[in-house]
Parts: sequence; structure tokens; C-alpha cells
Amino acid sequence: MKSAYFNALYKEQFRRLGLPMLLVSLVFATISIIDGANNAAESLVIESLTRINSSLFAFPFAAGLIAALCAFGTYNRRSRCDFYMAIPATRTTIFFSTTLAVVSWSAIGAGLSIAISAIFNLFGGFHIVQLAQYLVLFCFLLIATMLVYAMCSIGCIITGRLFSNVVMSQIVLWLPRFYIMLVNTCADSMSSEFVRFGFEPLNNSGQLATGILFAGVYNELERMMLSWWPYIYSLLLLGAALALGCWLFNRRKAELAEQSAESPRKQNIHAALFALPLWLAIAYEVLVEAYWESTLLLTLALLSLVFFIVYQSVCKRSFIAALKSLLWWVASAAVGAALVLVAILGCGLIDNVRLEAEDIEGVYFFNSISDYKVIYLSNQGNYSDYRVREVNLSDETVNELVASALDGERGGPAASTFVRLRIKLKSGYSIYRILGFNQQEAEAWTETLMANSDYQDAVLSVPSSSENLKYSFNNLDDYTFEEAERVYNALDKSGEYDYVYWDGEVDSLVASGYYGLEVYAVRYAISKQTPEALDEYIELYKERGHEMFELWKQGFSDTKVYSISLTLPDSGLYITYHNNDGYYYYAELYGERAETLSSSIEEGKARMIEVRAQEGSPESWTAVLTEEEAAEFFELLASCTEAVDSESTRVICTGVDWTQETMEMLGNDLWKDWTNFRGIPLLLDLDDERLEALNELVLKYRYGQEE
Amino acid sequence: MIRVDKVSKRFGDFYALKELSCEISSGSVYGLVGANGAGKSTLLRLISGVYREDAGEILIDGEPVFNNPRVKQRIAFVADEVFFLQHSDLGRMAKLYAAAYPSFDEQYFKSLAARFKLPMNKNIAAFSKGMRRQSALILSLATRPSILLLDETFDGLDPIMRNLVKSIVYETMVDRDMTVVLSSHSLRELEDTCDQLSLLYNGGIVFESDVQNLKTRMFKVQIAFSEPFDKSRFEGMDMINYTQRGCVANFILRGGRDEAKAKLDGMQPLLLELLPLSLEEVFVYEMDALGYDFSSQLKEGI
Repeated sequence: MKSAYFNALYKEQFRRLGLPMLLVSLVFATISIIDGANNAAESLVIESLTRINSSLFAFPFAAGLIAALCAFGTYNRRSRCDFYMAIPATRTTIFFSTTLAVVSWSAIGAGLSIAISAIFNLFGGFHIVQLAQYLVLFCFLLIATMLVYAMCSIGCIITGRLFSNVVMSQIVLWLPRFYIMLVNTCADSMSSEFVRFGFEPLNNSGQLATGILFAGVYNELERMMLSWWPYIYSLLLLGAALALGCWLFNRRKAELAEQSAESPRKQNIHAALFALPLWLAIAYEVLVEAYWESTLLLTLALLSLVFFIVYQSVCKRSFIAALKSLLWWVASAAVGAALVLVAILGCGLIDNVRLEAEDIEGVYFFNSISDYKVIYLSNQGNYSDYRVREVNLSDETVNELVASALDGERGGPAASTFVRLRIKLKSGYSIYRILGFNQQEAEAWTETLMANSDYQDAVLSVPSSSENLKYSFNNLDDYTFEEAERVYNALDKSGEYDYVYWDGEVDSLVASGYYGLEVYAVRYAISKQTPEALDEYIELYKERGHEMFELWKQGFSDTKVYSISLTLPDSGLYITYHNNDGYYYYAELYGERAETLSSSIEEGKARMIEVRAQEGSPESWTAVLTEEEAAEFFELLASCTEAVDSESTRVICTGVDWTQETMEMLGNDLWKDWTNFRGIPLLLDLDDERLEALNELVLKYRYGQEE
Repeated sequence: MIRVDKVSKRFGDFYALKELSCEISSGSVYGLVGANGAGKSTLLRLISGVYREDAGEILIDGEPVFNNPRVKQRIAFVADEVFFLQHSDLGRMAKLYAAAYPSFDEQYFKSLAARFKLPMNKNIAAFSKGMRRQSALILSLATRPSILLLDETFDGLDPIMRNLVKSIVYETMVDRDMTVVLSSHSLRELEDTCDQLSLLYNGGIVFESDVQNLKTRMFKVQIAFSEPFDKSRFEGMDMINYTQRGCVANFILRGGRDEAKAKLDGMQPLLLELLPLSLEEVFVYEMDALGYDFSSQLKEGI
């Protein structure tokens, strides 16, 4: 009977919420269609989770708020409130039947929009994210929406009018996170450059709802979406918010309908909370940053006053009554100052922690101090960092180093490397810190730490191919999992070698996976310094290189636009080659060649090559090639690419390159053609002879004669 | 039985009810009368479980009401401001009630709608005020309640509809031993309907009595004697509001009518008349005797 009744209530709530939630779903579905159509028109490649449909990240805030307003703002009307409070259902039953209806509609809205995006992306042809990531996006949006709903519901339950519903729901959603952010900022400001607090659980992008904003600002959105911990934390927070909401709903008085608050005192408290964020900012500037510039402070104070007065005037329906409550605005200032003082005191107490080496039982590092072989992708974790976390360094030398580092009195150059660590004390407690090192300190620490075999093993470890990895090349698109794995297994993973970024890199291979509940991605360069991997890569390339090169040549003939850039060692020049039928180029042509070839361009017989200097060089000019010259150029390139093998003395890789000017000149219509050749690499064997020949050609095109 | 024991309810600084107590027997029709703001609607909302009392308790057959589905499923409350879903018709509202009240009887609902000639598929927003009240009532009756709470439901109904509503309510009472509690600010409205009446004033019940008893236990006396007399002549009689002009006296007498007549006849008056009082007059004189000034309420139509 009870479950049947709950089902009946749930269906009724589902029906009741139908219109507003359906509208939200349709709006975002429409946005998805527009977004998808734009992507298809621009032939946009979907290479990351956040690019599937970036508009959808607004969905939780829209749907969550609207759901809360419709679900609980409904009790703002007395007649409706009387009806629902009189029916033979407990408040808890009403709350959860409503919440379940919101879950259903949120799933429908998010699912519909994602499905539309998937259809566009899949049939657009430029899709390289895994299909499973759509499921990740769905889970992300659903949990974020429910979290927004749960927190906004609290604001709606404690107030009885639409205006106060909206204001208080946003206060509940954002104020706690604003204060946490302030505490983090306070901790950073107060601590020395070399010692900071590792309050990782309070990371600004740790919660899926408000984290969308913070993580987006800091470019950590994808990492947040692909890690488990934000989901677990958000689900715990969701559970707590729903429990609180249910408890408050059980206590909500029916007579709150059409009132902004249950009592005048609570009304004033709400208004004070509305003014509080600005007071927090003022208190922070004054107490932490010692910033006394009156203009800004006065402006903020005035703004908070305006917020307060407006809120009170609307809720109390009287400006005079609002003015009479001004003491509460003053109280809000006091609360703001008190909260910042609490943050300062707390951070100060923590900052003053000093340790002796004998106090330390062990040290866990959350990341390694320097990377030896890899560069981790900025938005995803580093594998060796996760391995390092498992190492308990109970070395006396390390303990002494850590204890001395915590006094924050180190001088010298500014810190350039930061490491987060957990210091386990013999008392059983642990403290978290972020230590900063300048270059010399980093090297000294590294030497000490690397003497520890466990640490060394963790830092130098790379994920085994048996750890369910995913692979992707930077330049290749067409390869199987087994082929990529073969190249990965051939990478030199033992010992250490000097990794020099961009020095002779032919391609890079990214291996990503999960370490426990967290995602990581590590990028390995394939170059002459990894000969086994280079061999495998060239073999893979050879299977496809010829086909790709033919496509490239065909494209040169057929398409309006093509661009290739290659860096010639020792020449100091980029060569950007593109096929253009625009006439405005010959304003930059050089000398007599301009007149001679301008007509050839108009007749479509000429190709142009644009040569641009590397950064810092004043050289920048454009040359135009005739058909014959272009053929000569291609022939040389073809011989370079056919010659490449593992014995090649110098291998370089080209890729498409667009300069700013080229993009501006080519215009939007030509983008489609460009994407047909995205990702085709050209491996060239540039031994001394071929390099000289290519340089001669370039100089001939530049000056019109051989030098 | 509905038992209200020293219930208080406050809205901010204003006490809508102050330690109000009453008992409503099963199967009775209990009327609440009082001016605007007396606390009638508040009491009904407390009994229906919409409000929670700040002090005291409300028990229905020994069980508290608030947040108690087992008790609330026996109660139907028709508020003064009736609720309907936007852009809904009676069919849609029936579905809502069916979901909210497991005991909702759809067949009975349809039969009631037919009796009241209410269209099932027309937008309720287009109904008149009276039709809306009828709709709310039949929806509530269709939930087959054992306690029906009506808050100024008869207001806005024409006399024919009022009689129809009353007859349906009585039918249900007979069939199911239903208890009805209704409020009104019009005594005339309640006079023919209720078994018991109570007058609410300033958050409390100032007067409560059986309707029949009220009407018969008080009457007006007009008496004249040939010789001079004064009030002391009627010593020992339960008398209020005595006035005399010359040899004619008028007063209100409480008690048995026959005994009073016999006693007064024994005084050999020149003129003796015992006149019945309307319910309104009974209330006014009783309140006057209690020391309450109801002149303003009289103007409001009690």
C-alpha cells in the first residue's frame, strides 16, 4: 500500500513538474541542435569531453534551480500549500516523491541534449572521444543538477515567496563555497612562498556543481569529470543536502506561504546572509591583504547595503521597515569580520606548526618534485605522482629535510617547483603542506629522495600496458589499439634519460588510465632518443604513410586550401605552404616575381608558398611557386618521406599549420577543406644532402635565383 | 471523537488561538462561529493537520493528527480558498485526488458531479465561485472521509445549492457516521445545520452549547402588573437583561419554559408573554451576560 501510494504521488509530482522541466529540456535540446549544427558546419573535431557540448554545462544551474522553485516554490501559495499539507502523506514522502520526479526529469533533459549532441558529433565525422565519455557526461550533469536542486531546495523551503526563494537558494548554493575559497586564498596569502597548506579536500573544483565554474576557470573541468573523487564527494554532499532539505521540509510551517520568512528575526537573518559575501570580501581585503583603499571598500560596503535594503524592502513590502532593520546589516559586517578572523586564526595556528625530525613518523608525497621522462598533460594527473603517494618515506634524512622546510624561513630565488605532501606524525595525526622549491633546492631534494629505492622506483615507473590503458598519438589518427600498444611497449622505460622537449620529436604517444579512482595521462615523446619506439612508429607510419602522402598530394591538387609547416634544422625558418586562389597575396610579393606570377595566380596555375620566420626573427616574406616549382618541391618532399626509416639520421615530422594571417586571408569558407587533412603527418628523412636541397629550393623561391 | 486540548497557535506576535479546548463527538455536526480573525480557519487547519499547534494537542480517536497519514486519510478539508491545478478540469483534479487519497471513489465522484450538474471537461477557471466550491466539496466527499472540515463552504452558494449540499452531507453522515465541522461567520447559516455550536472570540471559545438547548433554554418575557413592582419580585429566577417601563417589564429568562410560565402565572400578572429568541439573540444576550461587547460583531453580521 505504502509503495503504491508513493508511486502514485511520484507520478503526480512528475506530471506537475512536467511543463517547466520539459521547457528547460527543450531549450537545451535546441541549444544542442544549434551547437551540433555549428560544429558540423565548422567541421569541429571533438577531441575532449568538454567539447562534446560546452553549452550543457549551464544545464545543472538552469534545471536545478527551476526544479527547486517548481517543487517547493509551489508551497508559496496558501491554497496549494493547504492542499498538500492536508493530504494523507508524511512530509518525508512528499519530499522524496518530488525529488524522485526531479531526478527523472533531469535525466530526461540531460539525456536528450547529450543524445542530440552525440548524433551530430557521430555523423559529423570528426569524433575522437570514446562513446563511454557520453555516459560520463550524463552522470556528471545528472549529479551536478541534483546537487544544485538539493541546495536550492533548502533556500526555497525556508522561505515562502518567489523572490526570497531565488535569493536564498543562491545563497545556500554559493556562500559556503565562497567562504571555502576565501579560506584557501587566506591560507595561500598568509603562508610563506615556500610553505602552503594542502587543503586538497577543500579544492575549489572538488564539487560537481559549483566546481563547473571554478574548474572551468582553471581549465580543470575535464580532469574533474574523469576523476572519481569529485563524484563521490558530490554524492555525499547531495545526500547531506537532501537530508537537510527533508528535515527542514518536515519542520516547515504551512503558514510560511506568502511570507518571506517564518519570523521577523529569520527575515533579518536572511537579509544579513545576502549582504554577507560582500562583507567577507571587505574583511578579507582589510584584515588579510591590509588593503585600505577607501574607494573599493566603500563601493563594496555600499553594494552590500543596497543588496540588504532591496531584499528587505521587497520582502517586508516596506522601505521604512527595511531601514529599521539596518542593525542587522551592521551585524552582517561583524559576522563577516569574525569569519575572516576565524580563517586567519586557523591558518595562523596551522602556519605556526613547527616540527622536529623526531616528531615525524613518515612522509608521503602527493607528487614528485621533477619529472624525468614525461610531461603530464596539464588537465590530467601524472602516473608517477600517484605511485609516489604510496611511498612512505620514513627516512631520517628526509624527516630532517621536511622539518627544516616547514619553518618557512628559507631565502633565495623564488619557488618554481611545488610538491604537496602529507606528514604523518608519531602522535597519529597527519598534516598537509605544499612546499615550494627553487631550482637548487629541487635538485638537492631530488638527490636525497632518489637515494630511496622506493621513491626512485615510483618516480621512474610508468604504467604497464596490462593496466587497461588507452592510447592516442598526437599526429596519427588511423591506428589500432594493438599497434599503439606495440609502440608503447617499445618505449624505453628503464633508467632515466634526458628529455628535451621538442628536440627531434617525431610524434608523441599519450597513455591514459585510472590509478585507483583517479585519472592520469602521460605523454611520451617518440624520437631518436627512443629508438625501439621510433622503429615501431616508423613501421606503423610506413603502412599508412604512403597512402597519406598520396592523399596529401591529391589534396594539394584538389582543394583550395592546404598548409604544411616544417621546421628545417639550422635554417631558422618555418615553411608554410598553402594553396590559395585569393589575389590579395600579391601585394606582398617580392619584386618582379609579383608581376609575373600574379596573372598565373588568377589563372589558377600558380601555387604559393609562404615563408615565415621563427619567433624572434625579422624575416617574413611570401613566395609564389609556379606549377613546375611546386612539382619540384613536392618531388623533393616525396623523396624525403620515402627515405625515412629507422636508419635515418634526421627525421622530422610535419603537420598542418595555420598562421594568423593565413587564417584571416583564407576566410571561413575554406575551413572545411582544411579539416580533411588534419592529423596527416609527413615524416621526412632530412639527411644533409636532402636538407641542403630543400634549403636551396626555399632560397630560390625567396630570391628568385639559386644562391 | 475529535479532542482539542488547550491548543495555542501563534503567528509571529499574534495569538490566533489561546489554550482552546473542545470536544467534537463522532457523527455530529459541529459549528464554529465567530467574526473575521476569531480563529475558526486556524482551528480547522489544526484539526486537518495543515498547521502544527504551538501548545496543547489535537487528538482524533486518541491519535495526534499532524504528519500522521493514518489519521489524515480519514479527514477531508475544504478550505475557504479552494485549490485547483492551473488549466485543469474536474477530470484532472479527480486524478490528483485519486493519487493523493487512496480512498478516493471515482464512481461516487462522477455521480456527485452529475447531481450538481458540473461539467467534467470544462476548465475550472471558467467556473463561477459557487461552482468552484461545489467542485471542491464533491472532490472531498469522494475521498470518503469520516471527518469533513468545511471552512465557510456555504458562502457563495445559492439557497438551492446550499440545500443540495446539506442534503448530500446528511446522506453521507447517515451512511458513514461522518463527523462534520463547519465554520461560518453567519449564525443564520449554521442554525439549521449544526448539532452544536461554539462561538470563537479572540482565539478562544467563549460559548459552546447544543443548538436545540440554546433555542429552548432561553426566552424573552414580557410581563405587566397592575400594582407597582420591581426586579425583586422575580428573585430566584435566572434572569438577564432586565428592563422596566412603568408597569411593564421585559427580561430574558433561562431555564425550563413550562416551569417559568407556571411560576409567572402564579404572580397573577395583567399581561404575560413568553417569546422565543433567535439564535443570534441568544448569543448576543449570553455574551452580554459574560461581559463581552459584541456591538461591532453585530455590525459584521453575526
